[in-house]
This record gives sequence, C-alpha cells and structure tokens, in this order.
Amino acid sequence: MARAEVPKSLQEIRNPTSVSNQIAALKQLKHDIIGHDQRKELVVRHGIIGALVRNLTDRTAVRGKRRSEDDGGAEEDEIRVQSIQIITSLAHGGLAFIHPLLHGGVIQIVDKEAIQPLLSTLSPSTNQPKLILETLKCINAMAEALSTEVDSPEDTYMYHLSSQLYSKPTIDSLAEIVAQRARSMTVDDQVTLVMKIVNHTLRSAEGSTHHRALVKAGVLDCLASRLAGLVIKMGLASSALDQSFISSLLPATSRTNLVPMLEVLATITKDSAYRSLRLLCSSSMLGVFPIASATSQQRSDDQYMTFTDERQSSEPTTTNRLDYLLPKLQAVQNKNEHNFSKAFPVLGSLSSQSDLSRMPYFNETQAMVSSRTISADEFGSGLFAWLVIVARTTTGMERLAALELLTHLVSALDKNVMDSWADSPRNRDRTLAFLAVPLLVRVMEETSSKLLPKEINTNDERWTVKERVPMVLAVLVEDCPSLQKAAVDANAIKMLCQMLKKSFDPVVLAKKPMWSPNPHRPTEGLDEDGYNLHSAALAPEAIHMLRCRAAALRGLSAIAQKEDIHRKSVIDNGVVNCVVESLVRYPDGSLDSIRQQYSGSSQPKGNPNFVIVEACRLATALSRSVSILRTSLIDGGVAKPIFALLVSGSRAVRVCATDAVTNLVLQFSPMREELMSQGILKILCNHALWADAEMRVSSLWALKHLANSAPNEVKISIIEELGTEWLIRSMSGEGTSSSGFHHSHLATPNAAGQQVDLLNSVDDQPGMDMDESGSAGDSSEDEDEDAMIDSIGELPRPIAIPSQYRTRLKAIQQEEENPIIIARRDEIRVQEQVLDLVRNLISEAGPAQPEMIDHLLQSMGAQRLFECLANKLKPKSGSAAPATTPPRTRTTGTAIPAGKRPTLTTPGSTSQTQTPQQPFPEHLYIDAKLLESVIFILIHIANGKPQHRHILLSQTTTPTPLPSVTTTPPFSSQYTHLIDLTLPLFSHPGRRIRVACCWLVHNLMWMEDQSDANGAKGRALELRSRGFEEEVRRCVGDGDLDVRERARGCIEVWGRLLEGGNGERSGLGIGGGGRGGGWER
Amino acid sequence: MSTSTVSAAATPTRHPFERRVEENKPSKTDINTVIMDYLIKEGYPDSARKFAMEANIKQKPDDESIRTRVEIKHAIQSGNIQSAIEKINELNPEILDLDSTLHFALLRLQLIELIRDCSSDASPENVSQAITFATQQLSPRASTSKAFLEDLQQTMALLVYPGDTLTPQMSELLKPSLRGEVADRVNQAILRRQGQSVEAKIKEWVRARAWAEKEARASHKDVPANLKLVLDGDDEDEESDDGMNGNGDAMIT
Repeated sequence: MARAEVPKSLQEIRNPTSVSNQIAALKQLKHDIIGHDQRKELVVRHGIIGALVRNLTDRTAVRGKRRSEDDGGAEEDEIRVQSIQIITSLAHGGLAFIHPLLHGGVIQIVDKEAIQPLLSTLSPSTNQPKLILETLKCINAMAEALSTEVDSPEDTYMYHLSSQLYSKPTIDSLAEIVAQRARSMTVDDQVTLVMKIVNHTLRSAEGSTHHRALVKAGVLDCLASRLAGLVIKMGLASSALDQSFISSLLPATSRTNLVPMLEVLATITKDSAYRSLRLLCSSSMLGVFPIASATSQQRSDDQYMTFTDERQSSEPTTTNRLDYLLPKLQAVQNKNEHNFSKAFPVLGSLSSQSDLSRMPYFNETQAMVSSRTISADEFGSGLFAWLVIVARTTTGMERLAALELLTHLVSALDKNVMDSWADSPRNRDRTLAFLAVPLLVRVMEETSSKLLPKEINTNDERWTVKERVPMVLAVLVEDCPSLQKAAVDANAIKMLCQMLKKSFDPVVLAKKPMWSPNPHRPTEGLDEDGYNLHSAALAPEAIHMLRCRAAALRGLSAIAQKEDIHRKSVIDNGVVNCVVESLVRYPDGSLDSIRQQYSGSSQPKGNPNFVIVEACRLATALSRSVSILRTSLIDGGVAKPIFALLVSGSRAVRVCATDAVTNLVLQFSPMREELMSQGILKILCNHALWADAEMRVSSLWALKHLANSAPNEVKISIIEELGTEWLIRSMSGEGTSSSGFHHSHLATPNAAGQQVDLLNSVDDQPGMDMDESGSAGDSSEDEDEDAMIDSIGELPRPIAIPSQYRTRLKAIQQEEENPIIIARRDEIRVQEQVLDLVRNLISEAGPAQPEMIDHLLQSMGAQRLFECLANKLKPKSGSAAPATTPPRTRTTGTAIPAGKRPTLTTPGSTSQTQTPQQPFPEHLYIDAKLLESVIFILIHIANGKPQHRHILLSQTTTPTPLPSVTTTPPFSSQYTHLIDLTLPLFSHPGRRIRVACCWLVHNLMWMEDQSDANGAKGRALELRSRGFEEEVRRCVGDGDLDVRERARGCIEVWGRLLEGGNGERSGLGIGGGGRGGGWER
Repeated sequence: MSTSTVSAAATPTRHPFERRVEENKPSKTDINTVIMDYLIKEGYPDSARKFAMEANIKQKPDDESIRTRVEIKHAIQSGNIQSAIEKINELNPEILDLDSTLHFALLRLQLIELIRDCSSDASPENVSQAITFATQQLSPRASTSKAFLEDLQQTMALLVYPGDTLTPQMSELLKPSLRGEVADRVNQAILRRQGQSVEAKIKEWVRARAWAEKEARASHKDVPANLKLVLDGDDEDEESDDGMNGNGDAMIT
C-alpha cells in the first residue's frame, strides 16, 4: 500500500448525489475519522473542509426560505449537524487542524465577512436545540485546541475566533442560550458549553472588550441567576427567601457544573471592579446574598470600631447563617506585622510615613480588642463566605475554582472600588489569611507531592490545578503584606521554588508517535494552502511544564513583591539560575521545527512569551532588594537577557522587561554601567516616545532612575534624545491625550477620588455626587444596556440590577471603561514620570548641579519651562473642572500599594481639624502627586546658585483669568509671580505638599556664601512681603511633625537673616524625598 | 428511667445500636429515589418507567437516553462492536474522540470478534480481514503507548495459536466477561459525558456503610458483633452469614 485509501464517502460529500446519500456519507466519514488522527489528516488534505463549509453556508443561505417548509428543514438540519460533528472531530485533532479549519472559512469566510458558516445557527428561537448543542460543542473544541497554542503572535486565531464570537449577532444568541428557562438536559449542556467556551477564549485574553460585551449582552446576569439557584439548592442562601424570588430565577446550574460556572464568573469579572460588583449586585445574587447596609459602608474605619462595640452591646445582631459553617476567627488584630522595606533609606522621611499610613497596620494606633468573631457579613456579600465554604468542603478543581473566583473578586474590588463596601477589610484579610491562603498552599502541596501517573491523560484535572494554583495565590497576596506573610508561613516559597526547578527537568513524553501503515509523504497536487495542517501544538507534557514554570514564577514574584526577607528566602532556595533561564526566548523558528517533529522528545530550549513575562516580574520583584541586586542578580547575569527582551516583538514582554530594567539602572546597581554601554539609554528614550501609555510610563520610570546621580553627559543626552519640545509638551499634558480632555465633564470624579485618593481625602466630598448631565455622552449606551436586558427575546429575564445600585455601578463603570477617563489617568501617570525625570536631572546636589540647571533652563527656555510649571500650580478656573483622579497605581510593583485598604483615615484629615478654615479647594488643583513633583522641581532649581533663586523669585506669570467667584478662593487671581502660586498650597491637605512648600522657602532663603549674604537677605524680605512667612508660621502648628520641623527651620532662617541672628546651623537644602521618590517598583 | 426499663423488657437481647437503627427509619422517598437511580444508571428503562408510576415519582426517566445506553450495552455484549461504535458516535461523537483508551478497548474487542470468526472458519479472507483491521485501526495507536502495544500483541497471538493451547491470560480475551467489562466502561463514559455520576448511588451507599463499620470497629465503638447487610428477606434467618459482615462490596458485581 503506497498511500492510504481516501474514504469513499469523501467523494459523495464533495459531489452529493442526493440528500439522503450525503447524510449517509457524512455519517460514514464521521465514524471513520473519530479517534483516528491519521485519517483526519488524510481527509483534510483531500479537501473535506471546503465541502463542509459549503454544507454550512448553503444551509445559511437558504435558511430564510426554508424555515417554513418542514420537510426540507429536517434533512438540512441533519446535514448541518453531521457536518458540524465532523468539524468538531477534526478540531479535537488539535491545534494542527485549526489552521485549515479557520483558513477554510468555518468561522468566517475569507472575503465574505458577513457570512459566519458555523456561528449563524446559534439562536435558540430559530434553531433546533440539537443543532445549537452541536455548534457549541464545535466552537468549544476549537477553542480548546487553540488554548494549547503556547506562543501566539499578537493577532492570533484565538483573537480571530473571539472577535467573531463576541460581536453581534452571535453574542446575543449566546445570551439567549444562557437565558433559556426550559429545564432539560440539552439546555443544561448548552449553557455549560457556553460557559466553557467563554472560559477557554477569554481566560488569557488581553483587554476586556469581549468581557464587557458579555456583561452588556446580559450573559453575566443570567449566569448570576443560575448560580443563585445553585446556592439555594445547596441550602446556603444567607437570607430568608421569597417564593416569588425563587421562581424568578433561571434554572439552577447543576452541582456537577459548579466548576465551569465558577471559572466563567472568574474569567468575566477578572480585574474589573465594575463587573465584579455587577455580579454581586445583580438582583439574583442580592436575593441570596444581600449586601451589608449602605449606612455602615459609609463609616470610616475608626468609626467602625466604636460602632461595632456599640452594636455588640446594644442590639443582638442577626447572625449570618453562613457563619455556622465557617470556623470562628477572632476579630482581634495585633498590629505588629511589619511590611515596609527598610533596606531603602532613600525613601526618606517624606515617603515613609504616608505610605505606611496607607497600610492598615500602621494606621492603627491601638490593637482592637474584641471578643467578637469575624462574621461572614464583613465581606460585604455572602458570596465570599459561600465561596470559602465551597472551597473548604470540596477538593481538586472545585476547590480551586471557588478560590479563584474569590480571589479575583477580592482583588478587583480592592484595586478599584472607592468606598469601603465591606465593613472591615482587616478582618476580611484575616479571614483570607487563615482560610484561603493555607488552603491554596495545601492544594499546591497535593499536586506537587503526587507523582504524575505514567498513563498520561491530558484532561487530568490535576495538571490544570497545578498550573493554576500559584497564579491564584499570586493574585490573592499581591499588594497585601499580611497575606504574603501568610503564604510564606504556609511554606509556599519552598514549594514554588521546587516547582520552578522541576519545570526545567527534561520532559518525558508518555505518548509516542503513531505508527503508520503507510509511509508518510506529501500528497502531490494537494498542497494548496488550506489543505495543509498547521504545525501541531507542543506535547501536552511540555506545555504543562511551561505553564508550571510561568505559574511558579508568578507566585514567587507576588510573594517577593514587598518584603526583603521573602526575597532573600526565594534567593536562598537557589532559583536565580532558573529565573535567568526563564528570561530567554525561543530562538526564532525553533518552536516550529520542534513542532514539526510532532513528538519532539527534546524539550525546546528557551521560553514562550507568557513565561518570559512572569520571569521579568520576578526579576523586578527581586531587584527591589539592594543586596540581592548587588549579589545574586549580578552573579546570575540577569542584565543581559533582560536587555535582549527590551526590543522584543511582543508588547507585553517589552513592558515587563522595561519594568525589570528599572531597578537595574539605579546608581547603586552594578549593572548600570553594563547596560549603559549597551545603549539602553537610547532604547528607553525611544520607548518613551511611543503612544502606548504603559510603555511610556515604564520607560520614563527607568529613565528617571538612570538620570538619578548620573554624570551630566548622561543627563544631557537624555534631554537630547527625548527632545526639549517633547519634554515640555509631556509635562504640560499636551503629549498624547485627546484635546478635549481637560474640558470633559466627568461623571465619577468623587467615586474615584474617594477610593484612591488616600493622600488627600477630603471629607466634604459627598459619596455619590453624580453629575447626570456629565455622563450624557455615554448614558444612552447604558440605557441601551438596561433596555436590552429587560426586553430581549420573548423570555422574561430577571431585572438585572436593583435601582439603588445602578447609579453607583454606572459610576464605577465610567471610571473603568470611559476612554476619556482612562486616557486622563494614563496622562497623569506619564506626566508624573516626566516631571520626576526632570527633577532627577537637576536633583544631585554638588558642583555639577548648577550647570545642569543652566543647561535645562537654556535648552528648554527658562520662560517656557516656568510657564509650564506655573500652569500646573494654578488652580483651574470654574467649578466644572474635574476633581483630580490620581494616577492609578500599578498593579504590581509600586512602593505605594493600590488602594488595597480603602477605609483609612489619613494624615490629611487630621490636619484639617487643626486648620479650621475653609476646606482646601482641592478639586481645582491638579493631582496632588503632580503638584508635589512640580514643587520639587522648583525646590531643586532653588538649590542651585543664588542667581537661580533670583530667577525663581522674579519669575512672573500671566494672571489667571478670574474664575467663578463663588467656588474659587478669591486669592487665586491676584498672583503675578510664579512663586506666589505655591502660597495656597501651604494649606493643602497633603502633608507631602506642605513639607515641599516649606522646603522651597527654605531653599530660596539659602545663603550660598558670605558674598550672597545680601542676596539672601533680599530674598528673605521678598518672601516675607509676599506673605510666605505668615503661611509658614501657620505650618509651625501643623499636625504633621515633618511639616512643623521644616516650618520651624524656615522661621529660624528668617530670624537669622533679617533679625541679625547669626546661627551656625546649616543644612543642605534639599528635601530628603527629592530623589528618586518611589523608585522601588 | 421507666422508658428504658420498658424497652429493655420488650427486646431484652436488642443491642442499643439496633434500636437506634430502628429509630432512624429512612424516608420512603429517599429509598425510592435510590432505586430509581439504580434502574436508570444500570439501564432498565421499562422497570424504571413502571417503578416511577408505582412509587409516584414525579421525575419521569428520560426514556430515550436510557434506551440508547441499553442498546449500546447490548451491542457490545453480543459482540456487535461496529454497530456499538457507530451508536456511541451518534449519541456523542466526543466520547471516543477524546478517550483513546476506551476507543482502543472497543477496537480490540472488534478485532477479537474477527479472530473468533477465523477460528470457526479460517478462510484466507477472514484472516486477511482481521490482519487488515489490526493494521489500519489498532496498530497506529498501539505504538503510542506500551499498554496498547501489549494488548495488541496478545490479541494477535490469538490468531496464531489454536484455541485449545491458549494460556489462561489469552483465553480470558475470548470470554464474554471482557465484553461485559468494556460495556460497563462505555456505560460509565456516557454517563460521565452527560454530567451524571457514573455509579448508581446505592453502590456508593453500600461502600460507605462498609467503611463506617470498619471505622467503628477500629475505634471500638459499641456496635453489634454481627451486622448484617440485609439485602433480601432470605438473609434475615441465616445467622451464620459471616461473609457478609463488613463486606459491603459483596453486592457490587
């Protein structure tokens, strides 16, 4: 036999003689290929796909006419079902078959975009349940095969599939499917398949367009309703239920489908506070798990303490019934966890205190002693407690899925939700530390201890569990030192390190290649594109290893995010070499060549992008420790591979590599010289000019570090590479943002302000001051959404969201999805970095510094630079200006954790009680972080030569046009000098800004030498006459120690210079925090 | 006080454990559900329907799905493997596509049937048919795993050795019990695909009972020395049925 026989049925399928013959042939072919990969390949090579696509499209084309005719319809449906089943079977052949399938036009015919052969028959109102089921199975099979692609280019098949799947009208069909009220096994299967498809396609998708589309189409609400049904069935609803409510729910998911349900919810809500809340606040969820009352949410943490005590004594609270199923944990918390890196004195006095005060443990003055136990209510929604219970009572995949959803919900809400929607986050963290983290680590232990069975079954859920547990753990502990500690206590570091090391063991393939009775050779004449198979996926074992490697790296980077001691422990486990090896990419093309062999017993050397990204993260985390930076990392040779990644083709890799390089270029890094000599400066400058905000922030951050304490030539070349024009424009915020952004009315400033703006919490901001007209641009969209959810299909659907939550959700949605707000937030982040970069260019005190100031003033044009800075210090005119939205802190790696604990009191609020004047009109100013950076630039200019101080003092500015008098303090318009603009800032609620203002005054009055005596005196007089002394004197009584000390220092200088006091005291006039503030990233 | 005297008088030899058993009568509905579950899982559609009527169970069994499973089971047990495979594929094409072990087991069964034909009529056509089948259907996969390869080799040996010289291991292959075993696996695979537990609940119960008894004895709990698994009335009188004690597996076939 020279070549395999082509099945006879193929001929009939390609040229059908009759409908019944064709059905028979399709069935025959199906039986032939099921389970036989070689035959699948054969039929693909002989052009089966074209015939199948024709079958699907014929049917699509005539559907309109045929629907009424019952006789023809059934047979056509049968042809379609059989064709789809064959496609499904082909897709089960793996990744290799996906290429010809997609190329052949199964999802979308090339050149005829409107025709979607497979996706056109998904709507339950017009199609047979069986047909829908088979179609969904087919999509699922394709998505499953695609998820084995380890190294995808940016524009992947998966992307292609998703964009078809989640666009109208297909997505509406999907929504219809999950909204079906019928109770039958077929419907159940359909819903389960939809969940699986969403999970496969979106689990690791970049961006959230499709996630949003799913929410908008109502899929999330329907899923919530089905989950609520399951919760009731399990008897765990936390409140008494109304019969009418129960009957309003969609049929419950069956218990066996718990895993896909939890997985899909985690996938949809991931990283999004809006979608997470949308789940918690959907009527069906609220029905089973009501959210704690709104009044208690408003209370601040301190108030809460007294509040709980009262509650305990006076009213016996109704206990949540979930409490009986959870272990009792005392609500007491001692505050001795220490979570700030002490290795960095650079952070200085300025940064430390407020950063620490953001963390609950430092904010708390005394440990709360209470005999109370933590109640499930404290999570806000009972869903959290329910998930904990599910995780505690199940094993394997179910446990993991429950913990995953729990983790994603907690993390998304922590990062993005403004007000405390849960009573006490500390108690919640405690619960997580005791109940969730150890459980995760135990799951990890279970998967690692058992040897994998010889008989490899790739569907083995243990593999999946093993690959995912570290990821879940990472998301859970990220940004939260107490949870990181909990993970370390549970011995997670050791296990993760072992896992990482093991992932470098050679892969033993259990499955040998298939023997073929026919010598394989390309079939002549059939090599048209579309008839050929794509290269196959890597062997499942190899993929598993890579995923384990990425997961272990991710888990370690999250644990090592903050604490030096954890970093050290990671290093002590000897994984540096693994990290370095994980940073190396596959040589180009090698992956394909390995795949060609199909079975390739040798594991490819190098890593796909998804591993590299995680390796960069861990390198970043480790590099935050100076000692590790100077020992293990340099010894391991981490700089070289990271440098190579800077010019990688993948955006994600580039960004992560830039993040990783940030600490490597610090002045005390031994790798700085090496990287400089390789030309990192030019690369970073190039990246900074890109439009991608993420990329810009990262590379500017790195440049900022590079500029710190660098010789003047380096600094000058940074200015030259970036261009002064670009620097000025970026500082002014004209760089990238849409022109309209300053005028945009933002509906949600307060919502955002309350959450993240911890530095400047202003108590008078009302919780939900929604500017309805402001959201006009988008409200139509929202109305669409609601309207559609209530009306689509003939089937009644549950009302999605109760009215009391709608406004709030809308606000959060705006914050998250409005492109203008996102652009603005990015813009602020970029500005912050540019300002800090300019600051660092002139920050190094020493003989070279004045030269640098001169260079800066000259190259940029002093007038222009000062005008630009002045504009930033000026209050905005008009009350319409949006309140500041502070930059969204980065997900990983900032010194300042994202608003992990929203309910903190801040120093700002204390100081306000002491300055009982009218509240500072913060909303008129730009973001506090930017203000601070601007003032620091001025501080450093004032730290130059005496003439620089004179330039600063004499700098005039165009008067601000008078804003509407009622809201703006009257003083803002009268200033003609740049320096005057800082006067109102002495009463800024942010202590760092008040300190900075005092430093500025101090530096301006600094006397260089005796020859400067008169000059200094003149400056002191001028400052006094401009009213600075009065402001500074007020600061002597400031609530903040640092501010008081600085203010006293200034008063002393005035006394010395003007009243003839000849104090010997001297101090170098720069702010301690003036250097690379927040360099630890 | 008085109650205990009374009960002690009424049943002087009664063990307290048995009294507790009596007090905890399981509900009729639960028992019925379990019986129904057994009938459905094990594939007795007619009995299931009748039982549902008699016991007044609302949820009627999904006749068709049971019937298909029974048909497939019968096809395998009667050696009609090709038709069984096609039926499985019609029911759910993914079952065999994703479970190569099960598919291989079925194909091997089919090969055994072909070889069985040869032993009755060793015509060249029959022999070559068996060899072709093995080459086309089984051998490509046999090379992927050691277990498959051994299975295939053993099966092919049947073709070479006459029926009376077979090793016990090989003659196992010709016994109908192999069909039964594969049929059970197929049944379970179908149930699993349908998202159901693959085993009748009552089997699980019996095992749980056995486990509980073992645990109780291991920790010296006060249980009667002789706990019977009362499966039917006949056992009641056989006091010496020690074999059943603590051996719940006896029921599982």
